[in-house]
Amino acid sequence: MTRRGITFFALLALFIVGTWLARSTSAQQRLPRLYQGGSAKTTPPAGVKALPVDMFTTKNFYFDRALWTDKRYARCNTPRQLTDMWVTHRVGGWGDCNLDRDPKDIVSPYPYKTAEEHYNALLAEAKAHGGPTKYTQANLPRWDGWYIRGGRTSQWTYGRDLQTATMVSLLTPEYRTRMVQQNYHETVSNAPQWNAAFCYPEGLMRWWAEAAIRRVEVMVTPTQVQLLAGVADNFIRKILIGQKHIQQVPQWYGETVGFWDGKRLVAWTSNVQGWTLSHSMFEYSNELQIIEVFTPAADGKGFTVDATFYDPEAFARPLHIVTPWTRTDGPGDPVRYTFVECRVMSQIVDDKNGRPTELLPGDPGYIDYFGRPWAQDWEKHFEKGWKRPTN
Amino acid sequence: MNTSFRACLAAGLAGVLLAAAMSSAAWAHHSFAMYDLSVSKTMTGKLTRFVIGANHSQLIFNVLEADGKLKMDASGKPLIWGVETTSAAQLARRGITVKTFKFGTVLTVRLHPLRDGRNFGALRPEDGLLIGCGMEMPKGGCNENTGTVYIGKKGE
Repeated sequence: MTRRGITFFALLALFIVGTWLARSTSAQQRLPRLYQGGSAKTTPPAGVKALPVDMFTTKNFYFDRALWTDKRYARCNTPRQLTDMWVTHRVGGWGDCNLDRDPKDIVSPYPYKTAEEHYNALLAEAKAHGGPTKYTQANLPRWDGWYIRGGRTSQWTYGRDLQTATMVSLLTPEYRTRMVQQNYHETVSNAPQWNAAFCYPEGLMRWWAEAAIRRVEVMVTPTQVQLLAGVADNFIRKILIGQKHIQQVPQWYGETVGFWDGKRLVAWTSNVQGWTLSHSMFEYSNELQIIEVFTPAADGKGFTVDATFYDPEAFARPLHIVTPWTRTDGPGDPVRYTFVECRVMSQIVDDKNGRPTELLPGDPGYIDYFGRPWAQDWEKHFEKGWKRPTN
Repeated sequence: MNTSFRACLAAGLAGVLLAAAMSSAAWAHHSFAMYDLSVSKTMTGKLTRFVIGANHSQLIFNVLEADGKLKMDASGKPLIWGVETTSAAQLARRGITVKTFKFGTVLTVRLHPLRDGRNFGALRPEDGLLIGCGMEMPKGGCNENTGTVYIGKKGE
């Protein structure tokens, strides 16, 4: 074989191996270890004894409260596995009872009881070394651009690597009830109520959901840091530098104030509208407040966001997560933020049985967005029998 | 490092990047639990609406008989079906835009129908089919031999 031939086959082999490796890695990322542990079998795995009553056999889950924090109640499924049961053809199937996340990895490692206490401690820290830092347009941190969240396998908010019972155990009694209600109706009733399906607002906690956010566009000015994101490009958050909370009305993404401590950005979100993380996870209340600390990565290619969630009404203890953000594009790159009107692309409603379905043209409630719907209304109601000039 | 080795390395890296790009996950904004993924239906129709969406696009069509005539429902009106696909951006990468799929386009789709029996379904790239056949029903019907396969593989 000639030298050129050897080179060609070497290139081909490397291409194939590279391709296989990348697809294999990607597949593992799509299906983390716990997800792969799910079975379609409705009998428990060896060594595990089923509860006398569980989510799939109960007549009324409200009376099973004592069992909710037993992982066998959800048959050892993760919240994500519950969400996907009908799609993966494993309704009532058992998950892997040996896989879970230590609650210590989910609760806050900090000593603070409230977001205010946490924020003031960080502010005092900044003041101790001459802060908070004041930036001008000339010396602002150059954060403008696009970022993608990483750490997929470490994000407990995705509901993929913890037992449903573990998540339930971290909630207050009322919010345990709400989560189990959601778990039951996503699985047994097959009536998932995902926010975007109905064009409901996403709600602030969806910022930490798996599919609600794809990329985040960051824009920094001396007075605010703006974050735009969402698979439907429908999240808008602003961190108002040096401001105080003044809104008295809960909002979908809350009101966020913050300060700079050198290159570190501290943000405090309050005045949040209670809503749901959905996907067999939990609801949260209007009491939710979040402290986020954005710290630049050592390599300068992004930052980590350390978030602590305070919601004494919903969470038994403050919760916590760390998410890396990697910079993908600068402001001059050909990436566009495209605002999407959700309703145009989704005409999903609950059917007569309470399950989501799609409307078709002609169905009551269907809106023909691309057919001048306003004119259709006038012509139907006010122009009956009217003729128009032919020229 | 010699030139051949550098070329091999570059090709391997290209393979990794290309594969990673190809395997980017589709992002659903609703659950697919409303569709019966164990059932597939294939039908031919004439496009009446093309709703281009960020997460899912929709094709609405009047179902056609094998001879190209409109199929009527029980009340004597044209039988309407709809199908949702991947996002508008993903469709565009497959060459499907409002310019290529004008109203009146004859198309064949394979979809998973709604569980509640209504005339709508989901077309997933992994097991769905979308064939465009121009503005008239081809002789022999709209299929992989007479049209352009935009989603799905020939010979399935």
